[in-house]
Amino acid sequence: MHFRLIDNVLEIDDARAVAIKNVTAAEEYLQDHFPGFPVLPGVFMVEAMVQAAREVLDRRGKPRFVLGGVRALRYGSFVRPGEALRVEVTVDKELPDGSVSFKGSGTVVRVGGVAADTAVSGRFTMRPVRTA
Amino acid sequence: MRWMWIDSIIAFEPKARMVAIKNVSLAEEHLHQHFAAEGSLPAQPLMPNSLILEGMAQTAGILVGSVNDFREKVVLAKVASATIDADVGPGQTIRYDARIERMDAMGAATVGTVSRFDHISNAWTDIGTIEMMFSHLDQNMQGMEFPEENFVFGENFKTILRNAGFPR
Repeated sequence: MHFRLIDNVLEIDDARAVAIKNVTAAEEYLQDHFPGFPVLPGVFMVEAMVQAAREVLDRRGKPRFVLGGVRALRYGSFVRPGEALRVEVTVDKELPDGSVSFKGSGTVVRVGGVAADTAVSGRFTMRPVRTA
Repeated sequence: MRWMWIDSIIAFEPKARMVAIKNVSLAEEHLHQHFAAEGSLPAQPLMPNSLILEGMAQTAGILVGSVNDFREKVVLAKVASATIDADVGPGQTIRYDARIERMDAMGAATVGTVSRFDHISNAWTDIGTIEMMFSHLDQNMQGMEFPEENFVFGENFKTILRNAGFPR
Protein backbone atom coordinates (compact mmCIF):
# COMPACT_ATOMS: atom_id res chain seq x y z
CA MET A 1 0.00 0.00 0.00
CA HIS A 2 0.94 3.61 -0.27
CA PHE A 3 1.43 4.97 3.20
CA ARG A 4 -0.48 8.13 2.42
CA LEU A 5 -3.34 8.82 4.80
CA ILE A 6 -4.44 12.17 3.45
CA ASP A 7 -5.87 12.61 -0.06
CA ASN A 8 -6.46 16.36 -0.21
CA VAL A 9 -5.17 19.29 1.81
CA LEU A 10 -8.09 21.75 1.92
CA GLU A 11 -6.53 24.50 4.02
CA ILE A 12 -2.94 25.09 5.09
CA ASP A 13 -0.85 27.76 6.76
CA ASP A 14 2.06 27.83 9.25
CA ALA A 15 -0.19 26.99 12.20
CA ARG A 16 -3.04 24.84 10.90
CA ALA A 17 -4.10 22.34 8.26
CA VAL A 18 -7.36 20.74 7.19
CA ALA A 19 -7.18 17.55 5.13
CA ILE A 20 -9.38 14.76 3.82
CA LYS A 21 -8.86 11.00 3.93
CA ASN A 22 -11.34 9.23 1.69
CA VAL A 23 -12.17 5.72 2.86
CA THR A 24 -12.82 3.16 0.14
CA ALA A 25 -13.55 -0.56 0.13
CA ALA A 26 -10.63 -0.92 -2.35
CA GLU A 27 -8.17 -0.49 0.56
CA GLU A 28 -6.80 -3.89 1.42
CA TYR A 29 -6.44 -3.50 5.21
CA LEU A 30 -10.18 -2.91 5.54
CA GLN A 31 -10.68 -6.64 4.86
CA ASP A 32 -8.94 -7.30 8.16
CA HIS A 33 -10.32 -4.32 10.05
CA PHE A 34 -12.76 -5.83 10.41
CA PRO A 35 -13.96 -8.89 8.48
CA GLY A 36 -17.58 -8.08 7.58
CA PHE A 37 -17.38 -4.69 9.31
CA PRO A 38 -14.90 -2.46 7.45
CA VAL A 39 -14.03 0.77 9.28
CA LEU A 40 -11.01 3.08 9.19
CA PRO A 41 -8.66 1.92 11.99
CA GLY A 42 -8.41 4.45 14.81
CA VAL A 43 -4.64 4.62 14.55
CA PHE A 44 -5.02 5.62 10.88
CA MET A 45 -7.08 8.58 12.09
CA VAL A 46 -3.98 9.43 14.15
CA GLU A 47 -1.75 8.88 11.11
CA ALA A 48 -3.96 11.21 9.02
CA MET A 49 -3.49 13.90 11.70
CA VAL A 50 0.26 13.19 11.79
CA GLN A 51 0.54 13.59 8.01
CA ALA A 52 -1.52 16.81 8.09
CA ALA A 53 0.74 18.10 10.89
CA ARG A 54 3.79 17.18 8.78
CA GLU A 55 2.46 19.46 6.01
CA VAL A 56 2.39 22.33 8.53
CA LEU A 57 5.85 21.46 9.89
CA ASP A 58 7.34 21.35 6.37
CA ARG A 59 6.28 24.98 6.02
CA ARG A 60 7.97 25.80 9.34
CA GLY A 61 11.28 24.32 8.16
CA LYS A 62 10.88 21.13 10.20
CA PRO A 63 10.73 18.32 7.66
CA ARG A 64 10.19 14.65 8.43
CA PHE A 65 8.98 14.93 12.01
CA VAL A 66 7.36 11.83 13.55
CA LEU A 67 4.72 11.14 16.19
CA GLY A 68 6.36 11.37 19.62
CA GLY A 69 3.34 11.29 21.91
CA VAL A 70 -0.43 11.33 22.29
CA ARG A 71 -2.60 12.72 25.09
CA ALA A 72 -6.31 12.36 25.87
CA LEU A 73 -7.23 11.01 22.45
CA ARG A 74 -10.86 9.88 22.26
CA TYR A 75 -12.65 8.01 19.54
CA GLY A 76 -16.27 8.59 18.53
CA SER A 77 -17.99 7.56 15.30
CA PHE A 78 -16.63 4.94 12.94
CA VAL A 79 -15.66 6.02 9.40
CA ARG A 80 -16.89 3.56 6.77
CA PRO A 81 -16.15 3.02 3.06
CA GLY A 82 -17.88 5.75 1.05
CA GLU A 83 -17.33 8.21 3.88
CA ALA A 84 -14.35 10.47 4.50
CA LEU A 85 -12.43 11.63 7.54
CA ARG A 86 -11.85 15.39 7.67
CA VAL A 87 -8.94 16.13 10.00
CA GLU A 88 -8.03 19.52 11.39
CA VAL A 89 -4.72 20.05 13.19
CA THR A 90 -3.55 23.23 14.91
CA VAL A 91 -0.14 24.00 16.39
CA ASP A 92 -0.35 24.30 20.16
CA LYS A 93 3.26 25.18 20.95
CA GLU A 94 6.91 24.60 20.11
CA LEU A 95 8.63 22.85 22.98
CA PRO A 96 12.19 23.54 24.25
CA ASP A 97 13.52 20.27 22.74
CA GLY A 98 12.37 21.32 19.27
CA SER A 99 9.28 19.14 19.16
CA VAL A 100 5.88 20.68 18.43
CA SER A 101 2.56 19.91 20.13
CA PHE A 102 -0.72 19.94 18.22
CA LYS A 103 -4.44 19.81 18.85
CA GLY A 104 -6.24 17.56 16.42
CA SER A 105 -9.71 16.41 15.56
CA GLY A 106 -11.48 14.47 12.87
CA THR A 107 -15.08 14.43 11.71
CA VAL A 108 -16.98 12.05 9.47
CA VAL A 109 -17.92 13.59 6.12
CA ARG A 110 -20.47 12.13 3.74
CA VAL A 111 -21.06 13.14 0.13
CA GLY A 112 -23.59 15.94 0.16
CA GLY A 113 -22.14 17.25 3.38
CA VAL A 114 -24.67 15.63 5.70
CA ALA A 115 -23.69 15.17 9.35
CA ALA A 116 -20.37 15.86 10.98
CA ASP A 117 -19.99 13.36 13.76
CA THR A 118 -16.73 13.51 15.68
CA ALA A 119 -14.57 10.48 14.92
CA VAL A 120 -11.50 11.47 16.93
CA SER A 121 -10.11 14.29 19.05
CA GLY A 122 -7.04 14.79 21.16
CA ARG A 123 -3.55 16.18 21.44
CA PHE A 124 -0.31 14.89 20.01
CA THR A 125 3.35 15.83 19.73
CA MET A 126 5.62 15.70 16.68
CA ARG A 127 9.39 15.34 17.17
CA PRO A 128 12.50 14.83 15.05
CA VAL A 129 13.47 11.24 14.17
CA ARG A 130 15.56 9.54 16.88
CA THR A 131 17.14 6.27 15.85
CA ALA A 132 19.71 6.03 18.67
CA MET B 1 -1.23 -3.91 3.56
CA ARG B 2 -2.87 -6.41 5.88
CA TRP B 3 -3.88 -5.48 9.39
CA MET B 4 -1.73 -7.68 11.63
CA TRP B 5 0.65 -5.68 13.75
CA ILE B 6 1.98 -8.37 16.07
CA ASP B 7 3.81 -11.51 14.93
CA SER B 8 3.68 -13.68 18.01
CA ILE B 9 2.69 -13.75 21.64
CA ILE B 10 5.65 -14.59 23.89
CA ALA B 11 4.11 -14.41 27.38
CA PHE B 12 0.62 -14.58 28.82
CA GLU B 13 -0.68 -14.31 32.38
CA PRO B 14 -4.48 -14.80 32.23
CA LYS B 15 -6.51 -11.67 33.10
CA ALA B 16 -3.31 -9.75 33.83
CA ARG B 17 -0.56 -9.49 31.22
CA MET B 18 0.29 -10.26 27.61
CA VAL B 19 3.60 -9.77 25.80
CA ALA B 20 3.89 -9.82 22.00
CA ILE B 21 6.60 -9.05 19.46
CA LYS B 22 6.72 -7.66 15.95
CA ASN B 23 9.66 -7.90 13.60
CA VAL B 24 10.27 -4.86 11.41
CA SER B 25 11.51 -5.71 7.90
CA LEU B 26 12.40 -3.95 4.66
CA ALA B 27 10.02 -6.41 2.98
CA GLU B 28 7.16 -4.32 4.40
CA GLU B 29 6.07 -2.03 1.63
CA HIS B 30 5.04 0.95 3.74
CA LEU B 31 8.56 1.36 5.17
CA HIS B 32 9.72 2.48 1.74
CA GLN B 33 7.37 5.44 1.84
CA HIS B 34 8.03 6.23 5.49
CA PHE B 35 10.33 7.77 4.47
CA ALA B 36 11.26 7.81 0.77
CA ALA B 37 14.15 9.93 -0.48
CA GLU B 38 12.98 13.47 -1.09
CA GLY B 39 15.05 16.44 -2.22
CA SER B 40 18.25 16.47 -0.18
CA LEU B 41 16.89 13.97 2.36
CA PRO B 42 17.92 10.33 1.81
CA ALA B 43 15.47 7.46 2.23
CA GLN B 44 14.94 6.58 5.89
CA PRO B 45 12.77 3.48 6.46
CA LEU B 46 11.08 3.64 9.88
CA MET B 47 8.12 1.90 11.49
CA PRO B 48 5.34 4.53 11.65
CA ASN B 49 4.63 5.31 15.29
CA SER B 50 0.87 5.27 14.68
CA LEU B 51 1.33 1.57 13.89
CA ILE B 52 3.23 1.10 17.16
CA LEU B 53 0.05 2.35 18.82
CA GLU B 54 -1.80 -0.34 16.85
CA GLY B 55 0.65 -3.06 17.93
CA MET B 56 -0.04 -2.17 21.55
CA ALA B 57 -3.79 -1.99 20.83
CA GLN B 58 -3.70 -5.51 19.35
CA THR B 59 -1.64 -6.93 22.24
CA ALA B 60 -3.73 -5.27 24.95
CA GLY B 61 -6.95 -5.90 23.00
CA ILE B 62 -6.30 -9.66 22.81
CA LEU B 63 -5.49 -9.66 26.53
CA VAL B 64 -8.77 -7.86 27.31
CA GLY B 65 -10.70 -10.13 24.91
CA SER B 66 -9.25 -13.27 26.48
CA VAL B 67 -10.80 -12.39 29.87
CA ASN B 68 -14.30 -13.10 28.49
CA ASP B 69 -13.17 -15.90 26.13
CA PHE B 70 -13.38 -13.49 23.14
CA ARG B 71 -17.17 -13.10 23.44
CA GLU B 72 -16.98 -9.29 23.65
CA LYS B 73 -16.18 -7.08 20.66
CA VAL B 74 -13.23 -5.16 22.10
CA VAL B 75 -12.44 -1.86 20.37
CA LEU B 76 -10.01 0.95 21.14
CA ALA B 77 -11.93 3.85 22.73
CA LYS B 78 -9.18 6.14 24.00
CA VAL B 79 -5.42 6.62 24.02
CA ALA B 80 -5.11 8.21 27.45
CA SER B 81 -1.41 8.84 26.92
CA ALA B 82 1.43 7.60 24.79
CA THR B 83 5.08 8.48 24.50
CA ILE B 84 7.39 6.99 21.88
CA ASP B 85 10.82 8.43 22.48
CA ALA B 86 12.81 6.59 19.81
CA ASP B 87 12.15 5.15 16.36
CA VAL B 88 12.34 1.58 15.07
CA GLY B 89 13.84 0.49 11.77
CA PRO B 90 14.32 -2.65 9.67
CA GLY B 91 16.12 -5.53 11.39
CA GLN B 92 14.81 -4.45 14.76
CA THR B 93 12.05 -6.05 16.84
CA ILE B 94 9.33 -4.34 18.86
CA ARG B 95 8.05 -5.83 22.12
CA TYR B 96 4.65 -4.87 23.55
CA ASP B 97 4.24 -5.67 27.25
CA ALA B 98 0.61 -4.95 28.20
CA ARG B 99 -1.14 -5.16 31.58
CA ILE B 100 -4.77 -4.67 32.60
CA GLU B 101 -5.19 -1.82 35.08
CA ARG B 102 -8.99 -1.92 35.50
CA MET B 103 -11.78 -3.91 33.92
CA ASP B 104 -15.58 -4.06 34.19
CA ALA B 105 -18.58 -4.99 32.04
CA MET B 106 -18.16 -1.87 29.87
CA GLY B 107 -14.49 -2.26 29.04
CA ALA B 108 -10.93 -2.06 30.33
CA ALA B 109 -7.96 0.23 30.92
CA THR B 110 -4.49 -1.04 30.06
CA VAL B 111 -0.94 0.19 30.42
CA GLY B 112 2.00 -1.08 28.43
CA THR B 113 5.68 -0.69 27.74
CA VAL B 114 7.17 -0.61 24.25
CA SER B 115 10.73 -1.91 23.83
CA ARG B 116 13.08 -2.25 20.88
CA PHE B 117 15.56 -5.06 20.21
CA ASP B 118 18.58 -4.48 18.04
CA HIS B 119 20.63 -7.40 16.68
CA ILE B 120 23.76 -5.25 16.52
CA SER B 121 23.76 -4.26 20.21
CA ASN B 122 21.94 -7.55 21.05
CA ALA B 123 19.94 -5.66 23.68
CA TRP B 124 16.43 -4.45 24.48
CA THR B 125 15.78 -0.77 25.13
CA ASP B 126 12.52 0.64 26.48
CA ILE B 127 11.29 3.32 24.08
CA GLY B 128 7.77 4.15 25.21
CA THR B 129 4.71 3.81 27.42
CA ILE B 130 1.11 3.59 26.20
CA GLU B 131 -2.10 3.82 28.27
CA MET B 132 -5.30 2.82 26.50
CA MET B 133 -9.02 2.33 27.17
CA PHE B 134 -10.99 -0.38 25.42
CA SER B 135 -14.75 -0.55 25.04
CA HIS B 136 -16.96 -3.63 24.85
CA LEU B 137 -18.84 -2.49 21.75
CA ASP B 138 -22.16 -4.22 22.37
CA GLN B 139 -22.36 -2.74 25.89
CA ASN B 140 -21.64 0.84 24.83
CA MET B 141 -23.38 1.53 21.54
CA GLN B 142 -27.04 0.93 22.37
CA GLY B 143 -29.28 1.39 19.39
CA MET B 144 -26.58 0.52 16.87
CA GLU B 145 -26.71 -2.82 15.14
CA PHE B 146 -23.51 -4.82 14.77
CA PRO B 147 -22.96 -8.17 13.09
CA GLU B 148 -23.58 -11.12 15.40
CA GLU B 149 -20.19 -12.62 14.51
CA ASN B 150 -17.32 -11.27 16.63
CA PHE B 151 -15.53 -9.54 13.74
CA VAL B 152 -12.92 -8.02 16.06
CA PHE B 153 -11.30 -11.39 16.71
CA GLY B 154 -11.33 -12.69 13.14
CA GLU B 155 -9.28 -15.30 11.33
CA ASN B 156 -6.00 -13.34 11.61
CA PHE B 157 -6.22 -13.19 15.36
CA LYS B 158 -7.19 -16.83 15.55
CA THR B 159 -3.98 -17.60 13.65
CA ILE B 160 -1.87 -15.59 16.08
CA LEU B 161 -3.66 -17.16 19.04
CA ARG B 162 -3.25 -20.71 17.67
CA ASN B 163 0.46 -20.08 17.12
CA ALA B 164 0.71 -18.94 20.71
CA GLY B 165 -1.00 -22.10 21.94
CA PHE B 166 -4.51 -20.72 22.60
CA PRO B 167 -6.93 -21.74 23.94
CA ARG B 168 -4.96 -22.46 27.08
